[in-house]
Amino acid sequence: MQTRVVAALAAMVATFGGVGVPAQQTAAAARAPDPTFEKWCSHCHRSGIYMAGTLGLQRKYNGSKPALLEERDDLTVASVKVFVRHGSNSMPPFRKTEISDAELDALASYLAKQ
Amino acid sequence: MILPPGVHREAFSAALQAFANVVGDQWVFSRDEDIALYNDAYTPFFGEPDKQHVASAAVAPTEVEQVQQIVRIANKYRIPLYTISTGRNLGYGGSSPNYSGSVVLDLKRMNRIIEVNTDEGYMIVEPGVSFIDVQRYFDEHQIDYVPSSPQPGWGSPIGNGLDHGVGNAYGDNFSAVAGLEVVLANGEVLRTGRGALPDSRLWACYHYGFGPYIDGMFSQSNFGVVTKGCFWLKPRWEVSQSFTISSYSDNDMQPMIDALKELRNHEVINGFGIGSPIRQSMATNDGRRPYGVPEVNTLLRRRDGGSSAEWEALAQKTQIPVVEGGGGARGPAPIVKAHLDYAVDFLQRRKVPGTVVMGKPLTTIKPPMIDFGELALSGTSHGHYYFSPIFRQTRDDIFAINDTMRNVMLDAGDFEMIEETGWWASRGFAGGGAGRDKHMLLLMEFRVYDDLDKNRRRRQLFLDLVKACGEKGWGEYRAPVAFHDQVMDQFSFNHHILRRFCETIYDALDPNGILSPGKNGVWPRHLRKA
Repeated sequence: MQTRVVAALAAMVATFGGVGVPAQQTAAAARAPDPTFEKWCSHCHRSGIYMAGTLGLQRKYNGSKPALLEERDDLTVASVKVFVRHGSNSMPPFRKTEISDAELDALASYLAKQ
Repeated sequence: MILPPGVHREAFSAALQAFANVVGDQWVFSRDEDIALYNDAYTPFFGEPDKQHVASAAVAPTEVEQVQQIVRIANKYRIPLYTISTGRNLGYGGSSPNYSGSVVLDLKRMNRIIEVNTDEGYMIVEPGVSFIDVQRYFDEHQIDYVPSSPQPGWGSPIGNGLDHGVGNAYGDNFSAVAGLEVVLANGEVLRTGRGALPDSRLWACYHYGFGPYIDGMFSQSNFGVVTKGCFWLKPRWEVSQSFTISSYSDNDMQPMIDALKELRNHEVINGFGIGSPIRQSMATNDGRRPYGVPEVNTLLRRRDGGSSAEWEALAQKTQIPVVEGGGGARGPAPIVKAHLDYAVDFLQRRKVPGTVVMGKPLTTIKPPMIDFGELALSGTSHGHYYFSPIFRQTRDDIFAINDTMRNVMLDAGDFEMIEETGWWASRGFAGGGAGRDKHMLLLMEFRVYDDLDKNRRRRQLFLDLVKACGEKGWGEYRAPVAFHDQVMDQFSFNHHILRRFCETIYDALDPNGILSPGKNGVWPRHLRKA
């Protein structure tokens, strides 16, 4: 019980400034990563304990598909564009001042080629 | 596409063309699919499009001179603008305007880190620079400062600071602001503080100019468009470490708070937390981890919230403390050790009841990320928004606000929300890293669901909480755009003179009412309610 209490309090006190685990580079990402993926997607869609996108997809697919976007082989250019411009669940859409149409073309090609 | 209210289609088209002449055709957005990107992705009005706050268009400059031209064009055609920095204020309205039909002035493309001064420890940035951008810049240049990011870190120092946001290094991020550049509604550029001296080398080195200190007038404000911000930086700390003190008696809460507060006031610890783990043991709200004690809900659903004796008995039975406090220090390792040794000795000398447990020293600092894992795994597909009042760091106030909120939820018959919310104390926010905070802040999460009736009931619950808490002096620190008016209504001292004062300034600076009408409850004269 003491351990649980300490863990809860550590979270409480250290809400700002707690331990962080950097995102790990996956094998897939190690080859020529797309700059837009790096800038905008990697904070949610790589492996690591804080990765909201990866956590959400893990829950959604429960092992039937990879939770990491860069390991998927079923993404299409069109579907990537829909997710980026419309969002999904708690993922908000991304505006053209954040990811331009040209950058989205490159990002969609990158993910669709996995 | 909708039009700004009262603006004819021809005038609107002429204004958009004039905007395009300034920024280029591709940076004026008027197609429905592009405008939709400026809707609040976490709107409390999901599935009720007629109630949502929507833009008529967006314009995205890169230069201060372009912002000046845009506000002059807006004045000419009477176009209301709504300014965003990165537009990621999710949970508080995102990029959606207070006044539907406004043209979003999207500053995301103003994304230059103008200066990082490591000798003095400050940075000057534009509004489109995110915390993640700052961290990347620091990493790339091996700069040993931290950007004081909230989580998630896709927002901007300027947007977050101006909305009184909270970050890991400063706590109150607006307290780090030491000078702003602002485009006023008439198109003039103002620099505050030392920036008012021509070609000043001291803009970010001293907070004040000469005469009234006006930086605060541009926070939670529609008095101007902030185009640069100077921020003091905190150094990357070598170590952070925290301790806890826990007890099985409700009466121990106040002596614990007193001792922790004294340690904070003497800057031995950089902030403190206080809570009631048994009361919080079923809450799932805002990232808390449930211990899973079902009897908790029985007590919380009672009007009296359960007696101390009942809570203490449950605490003994489950071995989950009824009171738990904690504090922490950060900095060079030997200094952190000395501070915490002193703190533990102080608690013993003061005979503060409870068991002290020292946490491990942590040598890493969580970088700005998109830490929405909790939301991704929660029972919503559509985001959330926050009720976030400020209250005092006393046992009486902690219990009083919990009683008030619980009774509002009971009146609404919302047992589910009582269960999700549980019972509030400080979390880590007291102190927040700044060290001198004298308040507590809670962040009560309202999730948005597919069930539109439930969303409607929750919005009403939100407003009931705003009112019930406001009447007792617990106003919010920040609010979703949709509820700005009702929150401002609570700040009613002397016949709402705060709002009337702001309106007087707004009218003087912006007689046509073009800048973010309605932001934080301040409307132009022609849109005010009688």
